[in-house]
Amino acid sequence: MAFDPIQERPRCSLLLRWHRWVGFVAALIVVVMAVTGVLINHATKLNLQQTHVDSPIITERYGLAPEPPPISYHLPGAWITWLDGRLFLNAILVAEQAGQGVGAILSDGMVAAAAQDQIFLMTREGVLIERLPGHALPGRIAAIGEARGGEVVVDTDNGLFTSGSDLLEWSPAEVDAIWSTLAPLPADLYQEVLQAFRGPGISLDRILLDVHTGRLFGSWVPYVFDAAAVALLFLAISGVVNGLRAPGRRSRGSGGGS
Amino acid sequence: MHVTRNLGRILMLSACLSVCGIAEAENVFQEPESFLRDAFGGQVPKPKVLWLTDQHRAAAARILQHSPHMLRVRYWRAGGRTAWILEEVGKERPITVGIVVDGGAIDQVAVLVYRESIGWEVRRRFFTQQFEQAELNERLMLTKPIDGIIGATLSVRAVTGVARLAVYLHGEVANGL
Repeated sequence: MAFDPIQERPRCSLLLRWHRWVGFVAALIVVVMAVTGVLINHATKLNLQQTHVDSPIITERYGLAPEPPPISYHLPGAWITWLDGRLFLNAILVAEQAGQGVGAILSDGMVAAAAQDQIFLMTREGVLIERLPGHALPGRIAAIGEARGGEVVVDTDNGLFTSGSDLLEWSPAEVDAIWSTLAPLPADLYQEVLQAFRGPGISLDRILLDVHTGRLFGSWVPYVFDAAAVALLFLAISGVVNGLRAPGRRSRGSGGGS
Repeated sequence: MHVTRNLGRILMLSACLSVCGIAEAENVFQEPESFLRDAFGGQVPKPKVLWLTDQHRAAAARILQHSPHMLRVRYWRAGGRTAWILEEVGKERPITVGIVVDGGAIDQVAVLVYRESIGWEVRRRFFTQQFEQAELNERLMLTKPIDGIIGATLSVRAVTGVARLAVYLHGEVANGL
């Protein structure tokens, strides 16, 4: 088939225009991927796993910034705090997925910290003795307290129940109790709890990996990065096509002029 | 027209994925109270606790591949039969498993509450019945092979771990501790 320069030139220039614009758009993401990729490849030598970032912006992006304010109860010599589903004795993490606290008491030298659907029995040093799940409780707990006789009392949707300090068996009862009440956590202890909640922060290699894949910027951003990868593929193909066409056109052009 | 149809498909897919997300919620296959009633023919004995000694904790760590998170374990006992309701994390969330041990051999294993998004096949009878009549050897391994389930490796490991732990703890209780 004979070469038609009138038809071929506009098609070629359209491809070049697309090649240029796609290149501009993809370049920024490609630079990010390239730089982070090189750093990740040398993460061990650069000690990136041991380098932690504790910036509020980063901890918030990784969900390490607690959403609700702390719920705290004061016991003799200890503070019990629920912070975003985690349970702390002073600044010691006792349990995760600890629900929402409704009270805490000290009974027979042990701490009983009650959430709505479970009770955490622990030592005064913050060592978990037992987690009592819903089936070990007489109902959904609204409050926990101590009866005059020293028994543990819970106010549930099935009424008041008492138990010994071992919390093995519950009996319905009508008793007067001193109920556990909320108390404001001292500011310095709150900072310690917050530090324990966040841990050492996020390792730099994890952050770089999430920048590399786009996950750090939102759940949909990896698709943008995917698009950039596809754009790179397009650039490679359009570059090759343009490269192959250019010498052919020159040679045909020079042949036509002789 | 095609664009509208494709958009519809994408929305349908998104909706399905959202439903899959909801599947991560807690699935209660049997209430623990019901499990205990079945285990003891309707007459559930009073609960007891076994305080874990250093020796128990070392054995539990060998079985579970991590130290136990508590200092005592609750159980129910009638004669030579004990029932245990134990929790172990599969991949990310705890699986609640009920185990009945009779005379040193497993009588029943039942997955009571499952909270992971995948691997729920461990609740099926074809899996749990493999544990029946299994005992524990001196290496704290079950005397019967337990076939795994493709795609549920971590859940299989968790259920097998607590089954072994229950038989071990039963032995400690039966020895009069």
